[in-house]
Amino acid sequence: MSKKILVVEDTEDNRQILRDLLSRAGYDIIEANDGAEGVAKASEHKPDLILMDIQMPVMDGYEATRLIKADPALKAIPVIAVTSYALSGDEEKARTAGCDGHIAKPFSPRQMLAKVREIIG
Amino acid sequence: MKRGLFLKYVVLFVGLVTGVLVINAALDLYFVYQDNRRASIEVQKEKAEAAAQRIELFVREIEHQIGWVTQAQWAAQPVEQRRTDYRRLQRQVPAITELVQLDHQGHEQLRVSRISPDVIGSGTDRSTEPAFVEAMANRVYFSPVDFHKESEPYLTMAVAHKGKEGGVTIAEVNLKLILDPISGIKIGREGYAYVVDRLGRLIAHPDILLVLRGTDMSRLAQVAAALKPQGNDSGPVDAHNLAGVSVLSAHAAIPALNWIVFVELPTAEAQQPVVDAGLRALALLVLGLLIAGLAAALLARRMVVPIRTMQAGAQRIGGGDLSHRLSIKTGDELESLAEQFNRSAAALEESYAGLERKVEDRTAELRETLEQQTATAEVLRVISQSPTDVQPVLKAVSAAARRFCGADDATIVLREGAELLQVAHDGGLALVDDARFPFDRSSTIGHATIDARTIHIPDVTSLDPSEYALTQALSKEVGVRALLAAPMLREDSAIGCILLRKPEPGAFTARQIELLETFAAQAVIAIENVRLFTEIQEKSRQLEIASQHKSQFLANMSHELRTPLNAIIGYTEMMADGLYGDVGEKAQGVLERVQSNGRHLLGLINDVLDLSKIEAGQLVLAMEDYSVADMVATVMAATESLARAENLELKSSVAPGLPIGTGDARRLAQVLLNLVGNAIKFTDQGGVEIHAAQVGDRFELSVVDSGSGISPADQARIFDEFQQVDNTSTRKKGGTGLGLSISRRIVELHGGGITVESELGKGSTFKISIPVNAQPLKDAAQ
Repeated sequence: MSKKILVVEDTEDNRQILRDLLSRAGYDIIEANDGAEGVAKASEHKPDLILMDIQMPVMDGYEATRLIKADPALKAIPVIAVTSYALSGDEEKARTAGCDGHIAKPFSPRQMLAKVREIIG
Repeated sequence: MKRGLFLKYVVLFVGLVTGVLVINAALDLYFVYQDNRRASIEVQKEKAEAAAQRIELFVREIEHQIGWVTQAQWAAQPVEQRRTDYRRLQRQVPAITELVQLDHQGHEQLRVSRISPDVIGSGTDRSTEPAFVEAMANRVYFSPVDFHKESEPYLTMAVAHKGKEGGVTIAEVNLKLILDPISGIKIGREGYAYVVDRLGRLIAHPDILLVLRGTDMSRLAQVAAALKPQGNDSGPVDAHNLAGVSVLSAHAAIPALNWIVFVELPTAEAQQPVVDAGLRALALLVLGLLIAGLAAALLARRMVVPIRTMQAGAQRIGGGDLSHRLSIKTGDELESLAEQFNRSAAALEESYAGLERKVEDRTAELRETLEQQTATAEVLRVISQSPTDVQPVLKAVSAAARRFCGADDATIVLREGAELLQVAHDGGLALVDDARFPFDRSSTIGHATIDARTIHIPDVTSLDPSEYALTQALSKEVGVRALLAAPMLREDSAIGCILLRKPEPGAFTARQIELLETFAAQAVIAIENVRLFTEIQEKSRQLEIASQHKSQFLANMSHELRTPLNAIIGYTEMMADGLYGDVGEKAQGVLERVQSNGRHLLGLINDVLDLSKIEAGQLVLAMEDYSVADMVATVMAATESLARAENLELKSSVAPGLPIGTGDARRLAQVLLNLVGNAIKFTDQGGVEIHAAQVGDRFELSVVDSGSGISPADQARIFDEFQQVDNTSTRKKGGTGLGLSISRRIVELHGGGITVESELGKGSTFKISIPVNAQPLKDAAQ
């Protein structure tokens, strides 16, 4: 059974890149449009990894991560923050929110794949 | 007064009298002593001379008698005749006890004696006896005194007879009759006389025992002196007798016998008159002292008592009792002095009173000034404590104005459009709260505000009915007579005014008017303060919002730029990787160009964002431990391929044993990467070297290239924003021109510095110096 990755991302293009990249690599992709949806999908599907965009409408990635990490059923799922701006303290904020890793936008698909493989094999 | 003056007078007086008496007594005593002594000596001398004369006469008489009896050829007279002559001689001179006739050969011819039978012609040879020898030689001979029967003095006298072969008559003379009176001479009570012979032996003396013992008197100084052959007549006058008692001594010589008569008087007795005179002088002195003391005391008292009175009075006056007057009725200088004193005290009293009045006036003035200052200070305090609310200040100003400007009521009005609005009020003359008045000259407040000048109406009832119609009406209503309105001036126009009112008529003083104007100025300051404060608060709130907007904008920009870039880079990479099917060779090349441009764009965006963050002070160093060697290795790895592509040799040398540093490793690596990237970019041939070493407590990292070099003018600019060596190179080599500027800021944030050494055509060396343990600098970006 292939591993499930939840992609929480508000931009269709970026979702598609990740979908194309990761499904080709053999992962099952679940998509969410914003943080709130992301939290719901996480509860629903119990993915193996969550790629969490930070800047999103409705609920941003920090808040979503905090909710996921606060849920005992979900808190074991690794969350990788995908930050699109690197103002000072972004990494720190992501870590505080409970993210297990961080990758900066724009990312190279090759690097992204390498990072995902490093975490869930 | 100290006790001194009285004592001084007495001592001076007594001292003076004593001095005079003592000098007088001393002189007196001296002359008494001298006179007494001279008189005494004279008397003694006379007595001595008289005694000496008597003895002289006595022996000369005997000599004369013998000479007269034994005339020439007397030896040839019959023995009976001679015997008769001798007897007659004995009768005439009772002192002669025995007469002996010697012939010229020294043989005794006749002896007639009172105590033994006469001897005739015994022929005894006495030619060797001194009496015969001396008499033959000198006609007369006197033997030393001899004492017969242990008590009576005898003298052997020999007289040579006149004529050839005359022989000698030797007479034994009893001296008792002539010496006894001398021994009996009395001078005063203790005075006495004595006689010594030429050897100093005592011949006559009141104490017969001394005479009989043949006492040698020459051991006494006066006797020894008198015995000296050429001893002058005087000899020592002051001497001592045998008993060692001090005596006055006088003497007279008896030339025929070489005897000396002494008359001596104990000094003590001789000087008795002197002692008596001394005692008298002493008594006089004591008496004088008593009288002088008494007189001095009386006199001093007369002097001192008024002086004491004066002193006590002066003390009272000096102590502040200026109404005290001295009462001295001595009728002399002291009295006029006291009067002078009284006049001074009176003058002093008067000037004191004047002074006190002045001090009181001045104190009242000062108190008033102080109160006013306190009031204005209080207003200022309220202003400073109430920066956002003007109402408490206006309240304080109106209260202070009413109280310190002598009014019963104070009102502050502010202009609001075409009206004057009452904003503060203090006092009992009621007005409606928030009353509004027309902004025209029908009232004092309107007039004062419109014309921006103080309006002063001492009495409303004296106004012309046409003037201040509103004021007159209102005043009548609430019973106001006097008014004072001071405008509150901002720049040249008034924003309102303060109005003071009194129910009774009377002008306000210039001081009160001035003070009210001060209060008006303070009220303006307060109002202005609040306005400015509110303005500043608003400005700073706007700035804060702007700053928040800027940060938000940066974040949004970053997001908005990266999101499409992410899609571009992602899609092209995946396309190039064949994820979407095969790509033709030509298309592959285009995809690479798209990717390359995308990355360049990303670099530009990153640089602009970095610089923006630095400018906004939002770049915070993430301090951590790092290894310089690792950092150099990372940078080498990242730039190796680039160098190879440019056909450049990339080398590094790191000094061994460098310590672990503290700093923002990622940012420092970014700086080094930027320098190496630049070096590779601007070097056409040769190579690039990275050196790392420690100098003191700093790391020194240098990047050396063999490129075209940088001119001195350009060296000064390259660390500024958007500056490259020239614009053509920018176009050719790409880059934003922000790298060095960002690098400089990052190094400076670490407390370090970045420098360049270069020469055109000889390459460049960029050197970074950073503390091993960097302490992040706050606000270094600014």
